[in-house]
Amino acid sequence: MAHRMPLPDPALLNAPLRALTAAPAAGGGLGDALPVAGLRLMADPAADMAVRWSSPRGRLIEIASTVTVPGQWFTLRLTLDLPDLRGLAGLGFWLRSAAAPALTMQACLRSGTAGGHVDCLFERHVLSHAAQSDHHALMLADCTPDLPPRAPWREFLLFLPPARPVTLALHDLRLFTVPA
Amino acid sequence: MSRLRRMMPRVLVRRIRQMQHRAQIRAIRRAHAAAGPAAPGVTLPLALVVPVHDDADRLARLLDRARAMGVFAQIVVVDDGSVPPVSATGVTLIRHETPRGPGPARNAGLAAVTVPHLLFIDSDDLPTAELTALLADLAAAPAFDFCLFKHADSRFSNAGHWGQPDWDEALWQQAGLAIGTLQEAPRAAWPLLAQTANYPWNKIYRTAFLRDHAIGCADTPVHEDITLHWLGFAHAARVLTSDRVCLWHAIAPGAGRQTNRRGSERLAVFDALDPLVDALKDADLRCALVAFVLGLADWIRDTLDARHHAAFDARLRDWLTGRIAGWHADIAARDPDLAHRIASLR
Repeated sequence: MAHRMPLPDPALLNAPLRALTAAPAAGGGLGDALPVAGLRLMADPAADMAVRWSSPRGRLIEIASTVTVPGQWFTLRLTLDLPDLRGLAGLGFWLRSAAAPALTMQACLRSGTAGGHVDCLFERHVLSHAAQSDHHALMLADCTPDLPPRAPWREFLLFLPPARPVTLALHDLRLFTVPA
Repeated sequence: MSRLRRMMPRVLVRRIRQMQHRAQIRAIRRAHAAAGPAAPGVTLPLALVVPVHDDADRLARLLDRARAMGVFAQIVVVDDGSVPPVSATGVTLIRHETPRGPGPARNAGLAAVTVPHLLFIDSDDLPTAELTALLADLAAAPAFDFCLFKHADSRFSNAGHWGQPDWDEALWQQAGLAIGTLQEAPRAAWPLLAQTANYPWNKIYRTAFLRDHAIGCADTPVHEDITLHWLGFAHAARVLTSDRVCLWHAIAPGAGRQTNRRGSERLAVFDALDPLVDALKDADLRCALVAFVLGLADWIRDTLDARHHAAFDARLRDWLTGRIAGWHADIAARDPDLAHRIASLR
């Protein structure tokens, strides 16, 4: 029987990203909340990092960090209104970024579970270098057995390097769903 | 918080996590519903100066794009002897009845500019959407003489990439300016930035800066933009950079295109360099110019018909050993490798 759940609204899925891209923000440090709901920059509390972020006109966010004590993780997190994946073939994203020196990032879909959460990583790492470049990735439900079809909450995470200095410009990030 | 959390029953932690998530979703929905169209921002008053010679179709494409962007306070078109003459409405139109070359055409365009800042652009190039954002950034920035921005090169966009060639990108990175929508370039970085491709159209100039220092293009048939580029660095007090890709530059094969000219007119590069010898006072910029000229000479040799190589090499030797003889001591002190390269050409 065909699944009758309404498909997620892509405008709503991307609303925090679009809001931050549309409104330049002088920025702040790791402890300063990003000026839009649903988007957060977080680091391992065990790390000693100095982080500055800003949101230039027409771009998502620029992040500069220095590390005194490396942590285990450093992430940009987007809250997703995506409790039910039934009816979807998959979820993807498009990211335009630049970084100097070059770095790699990994994207992840985190789903809440009864025991905590499960992370499903997008297959390929994102490579950013000094010239802006685009990255596209798709996570297919059929090919991701660990991905729970229903979850009380979900987040899209971008894992940034937690143990080295970062100068990164995320020009644009958009998520999209693929109907089954 | 984490200690308190460790003491909580797991079921309570899960419930709190779910409540936090629902609260965020509600906040996202509220913000999304309340969001209106972005207010039009303040932008830098900018003139677009376009030299054109027998390129009506691509000029029309450029003017359509420029008008649609709505950010140009003035558009100056200099028709450099096109046949038939250029016809364009809503622009300041200047005509040279006989072609004088892109340098004099840009200089004529500069003389007709009536707004505080200008951008030179060639008729086959296109401004991108990021230029609009840069102009809004610059409107809020303190006074500057010029702002160098990144560009996209058609050779790379045809290969599926977006941006400028690797050799330019490497210089931006070495200067520590590769990332950042608007930054002041420290003077120590100018010799690196000056060695990027000497294009006239990857900078927003302050009109009065160019006029006050009598900065313009050379009258030479090719390499006319070298003079504009280096005199800018020679006289500037404040240079900004932006990593925004504000212009798409078309490079295409074709005998009529300036980039592809292979004749003796290439030797006029030394005429374009001539005004720089007296204007460049900074020893690091002088070293940078010599390094740039040696690289350019390699490119010219690859482009030039072989029958002109001997004449070109003789002019290069004269320039290096004679015209800039007064720089040799500074070059030897700062860059022995460069001094050795000059000596090897004697």
